[in-house]
Amino acid sequence: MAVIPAYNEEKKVGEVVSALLPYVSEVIVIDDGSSDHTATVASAAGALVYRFSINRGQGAALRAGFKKALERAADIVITFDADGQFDPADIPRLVSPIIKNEAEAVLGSRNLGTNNMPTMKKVLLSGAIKLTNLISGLSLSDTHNGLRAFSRGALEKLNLSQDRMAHASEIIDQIAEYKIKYVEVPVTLRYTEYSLKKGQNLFDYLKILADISIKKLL
Amino acid sequence: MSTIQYFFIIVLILLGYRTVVKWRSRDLRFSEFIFWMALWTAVAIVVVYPKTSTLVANLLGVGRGADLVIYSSLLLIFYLLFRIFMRLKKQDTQITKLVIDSALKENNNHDSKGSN
Repeated sequence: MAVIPAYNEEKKVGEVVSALLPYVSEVIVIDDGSSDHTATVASAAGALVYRFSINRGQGAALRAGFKKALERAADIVITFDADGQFDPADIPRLVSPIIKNEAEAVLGSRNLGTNNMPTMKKVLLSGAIKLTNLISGLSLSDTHNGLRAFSRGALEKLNLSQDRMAHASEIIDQIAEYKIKYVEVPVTLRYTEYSLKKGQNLFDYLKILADISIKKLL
Repeated sequence: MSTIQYFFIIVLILLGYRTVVKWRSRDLRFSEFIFWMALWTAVAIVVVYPKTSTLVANLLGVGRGADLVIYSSLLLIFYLLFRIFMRLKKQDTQITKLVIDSALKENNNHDSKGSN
């Protein structure tokens, strides 16, 4: 089962859902209070769509998706971005460690795979990765990568609370905290002008940092 | 009394009046009502008899009354800010919970046929 958080992605979400469906039993799209036709497009493409009445952030949308997936008796849940930068062909490789019982969580890594990441993004991201590793005590080659797979057991252990972008670090923190067995798998990323525009910039990274620090202090 | 004292007293009377109204309409709990009234009264005393603040300041080892007023005001403001911040965090969490619960109650596929 795949979970896609989507906010104003009417241009891409349709093809993403169609491309995913051959690989998974169900696609759940959580429309994070979009003002465009994301919900209609996703549902026409064959996804199961749930709509937030107001925007609550990607973290909240993922949490809703996880909850629904568990309710619908999912064995393995994949998180996928709605902007079309991931390749559904990576999914068999992503879930195979879970099927073989080698891991409970599989994290897609951009830096093990091939991509055409712009330099500025590389610099920002490598800083974010080092910091995340420092906080969580894990040693990962990527962070904030939206392509992941979780076993049902792993999802039941996670206890996420970050609504906005800091959820990505929170997931990694909790994988460490709850000793969830994980592996990294290289995935392909397509950086298009569209996905870059929708991606994170320096300011967003600072905001994530602030969210994490506040959570740590309280 | 100087102009600023009159001005402050008028503002304080208005604040006190609002506090009573809010208590009457049950927007404030009794303990909150007492807290705010005590605060306005304390400020009023200091405004009318500025020397009292110096008296208290000296007792606490602060040189001037005006300094004590500023120190304690800052402390109070930061405390209230902290409470408001925590309250907002809590409300944020609650809103998200509400939104998630209501979103998951029904799926949004009624506009397309048999797509789940």
